[in-house]
Amino acid sequence: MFKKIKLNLFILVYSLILIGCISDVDENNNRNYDLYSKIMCPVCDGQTIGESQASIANDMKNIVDANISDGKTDDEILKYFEDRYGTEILSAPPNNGTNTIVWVTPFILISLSFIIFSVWLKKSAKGNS
Amino acid sequence: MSISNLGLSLLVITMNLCIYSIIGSIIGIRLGNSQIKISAKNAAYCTFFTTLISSMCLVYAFVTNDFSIKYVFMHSNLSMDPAYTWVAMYAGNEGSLLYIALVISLSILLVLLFKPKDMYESEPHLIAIMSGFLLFFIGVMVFFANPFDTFQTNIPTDGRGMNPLLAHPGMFSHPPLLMAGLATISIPFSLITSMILTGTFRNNGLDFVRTTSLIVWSILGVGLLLGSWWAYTILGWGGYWVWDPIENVGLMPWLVMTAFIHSIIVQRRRGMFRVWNVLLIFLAFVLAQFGMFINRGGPVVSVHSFAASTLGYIFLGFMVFSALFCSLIFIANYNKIYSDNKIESVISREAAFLINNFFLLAITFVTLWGLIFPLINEVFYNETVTVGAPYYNAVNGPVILLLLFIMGIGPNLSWKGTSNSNLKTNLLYPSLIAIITFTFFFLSSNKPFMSSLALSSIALVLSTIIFEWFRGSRSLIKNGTHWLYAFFKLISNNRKKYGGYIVHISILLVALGVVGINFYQVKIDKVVSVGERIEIGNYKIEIAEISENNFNDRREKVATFLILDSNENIINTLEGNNTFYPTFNMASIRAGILSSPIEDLYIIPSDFIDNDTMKLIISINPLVWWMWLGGPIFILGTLISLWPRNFNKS
Repeated sequence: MFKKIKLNLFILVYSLILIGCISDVDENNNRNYDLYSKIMCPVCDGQTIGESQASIANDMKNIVDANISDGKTDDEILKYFEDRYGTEILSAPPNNGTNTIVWVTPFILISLSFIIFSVWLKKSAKGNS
Repeated sequence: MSISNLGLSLLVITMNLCIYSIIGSIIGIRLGNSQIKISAKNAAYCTFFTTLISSMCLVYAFVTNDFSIKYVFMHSNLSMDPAYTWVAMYAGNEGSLLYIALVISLSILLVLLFKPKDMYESEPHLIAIMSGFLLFFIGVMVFFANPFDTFQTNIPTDGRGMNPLLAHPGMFSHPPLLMAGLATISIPFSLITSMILTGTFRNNGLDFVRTTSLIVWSILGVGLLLGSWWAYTILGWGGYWVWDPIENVGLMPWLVMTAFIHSIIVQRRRGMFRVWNVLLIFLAFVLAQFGMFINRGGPVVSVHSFAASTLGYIFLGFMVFSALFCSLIFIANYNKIYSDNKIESVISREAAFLINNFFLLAITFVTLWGLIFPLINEVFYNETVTVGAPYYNAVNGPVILLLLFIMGIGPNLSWKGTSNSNLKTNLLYPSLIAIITFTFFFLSSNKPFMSSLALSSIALVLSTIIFEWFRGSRSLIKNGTHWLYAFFKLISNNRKKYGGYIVHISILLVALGVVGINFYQVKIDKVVSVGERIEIGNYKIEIAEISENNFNDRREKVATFLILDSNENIINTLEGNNTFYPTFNMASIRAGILSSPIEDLYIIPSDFIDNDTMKLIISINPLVWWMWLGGPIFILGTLISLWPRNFNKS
């Protein structure tokens, strides 16, 4: 009985502390920046337009902003840049065509090897006990 | 004799010393002649002193502005802050090779001095391998990338200057630590290889391997974190971590070393995983060579590799050679390293270590895959793609979460297997805390599922460690010890274990910063004039002054910001600058940062439009402060866990 009460009390106190911590977390307003980080700067080495200070990067940021105010979706905006600069302008390849490989391979390989690994682990544990 | 001749001659001498110590060791082993072995060992000792004096020649040339040396001309100039002339030695390709050679020769010296006496059987093999590694770097310098190359005629009066992005306090710590970390992975690698070759891969040797691996691993870890901090304070590097190829090649060996330092604990305690450990250290070594290759004119673009050089092929060749060497050693000696001991229970500490290894390698694989996929795609489909941060965040993110989860569960399991009741008592409170954290964050904000999961995993690991401490010191407290004393007593009684937990805490702090900046950052950008106020969060920001300073090599624009709280009280002034270097056609932007444990106010002077107008990017980055605190705690934990056991007795 005593143990149960202690546990409940514990949960209560912990939740209260958390509420105190989180009450003033701001909402995320970063849609522009999320998009900036998905578009590479065409004249820089490996930087996105969000990181780059090149003038073309600034122009591209303005295009993103304008498209957002026009009510375009993220996909439409990214497509706009992909059509003009090619796929390499996107900081991660889209999940279509041959680029599916880059997304799917880790998933397949990791899950497959995890299955093999856990079967091996169980077997070797059983064989021993 | 000029300083450049002296430097180069010493490199040639070092090269010959390396060749001598390799051949001497091999002949000594063949003939069983201890005189020759000792002579070879002495030659290996000497390499440190010749490399040291050669490095000093280069530093001397920098400090005295000797622009007759091409390398000094390229990486220094008269208007550079003199403090940087002491470290400009590793600002470019050739000099950084010399720095790496110095680190390797120093590690040969230290390993030979501190190695346990009873490891004498493998010593000649060790010397041959380490000297061979050193020989590669010295050879590259002597034949392909001589840092002491001079101008024959028309000696310039001023240099071109160091890459402006390097003029930052981080220059004194991040590059040398990272390069040293990558180079010294050769120490545990050579130790294990030499022990395998001589059939002496035993526990006393293993303890020394653990010590050296921990040192190497922590150097690399601190180097990576300092790089992160550097990137955070300067805009040019693009944020604290952007999964840039060069960052990735430093991270991969560190991840594999992390797996290694966990799994050698199992070999030490239970005699298991020997084959696995050998594979891990071989992999770490080859990945470190891969890193050197990518760093020096490899095939991927990055904002911070050395300027494209033809050395790429040489380093690629060396990497392939390392991989072949490792495979050969492994196949030829498989019978010697194979161990019979098997896992006894899936719910045991050793199984948890294996699962930890699995996830660490999975992250390594994803990172490597993202790095080489653009090359594969280009060769096979003739299409160029970029694999950047969004990819790694999406694919590696969940795996990192699983790893955090294992960090929480693993320490609750005991060796050989854990009874259900034990597991229940150990995990009860931590898992409750984790569940509440998750529910709370999930319901209370519109943040993605991932951030709640990450925070709850952090809560799980942290509470596991705290409860473990609590349980451990309770028995001491019951005997009348003061709780604070009991706490320290507990740590000092089992330094390896609790040092490890302290390192875990530092990883949690880094994770906390990552969650804060990735999920809870607030960002705005605005064009403002002097005197105007901007509001963000609880802050009001006013530009107090914009000034411009001209130097020989750079134009510096500095903005001073007044930071006010919501009651209009001035809490601080910050400075941000945008420095343009005409020689390099490059700008370096330094952010103004007001840091506190709750959040960082982060102001980037993105663009100076005219004398009193500028564009600012302002963000509030919650919890990042904890990420940098993670560094000192990481070092503290490693030191505690390395502290010699019999220190008190002596």
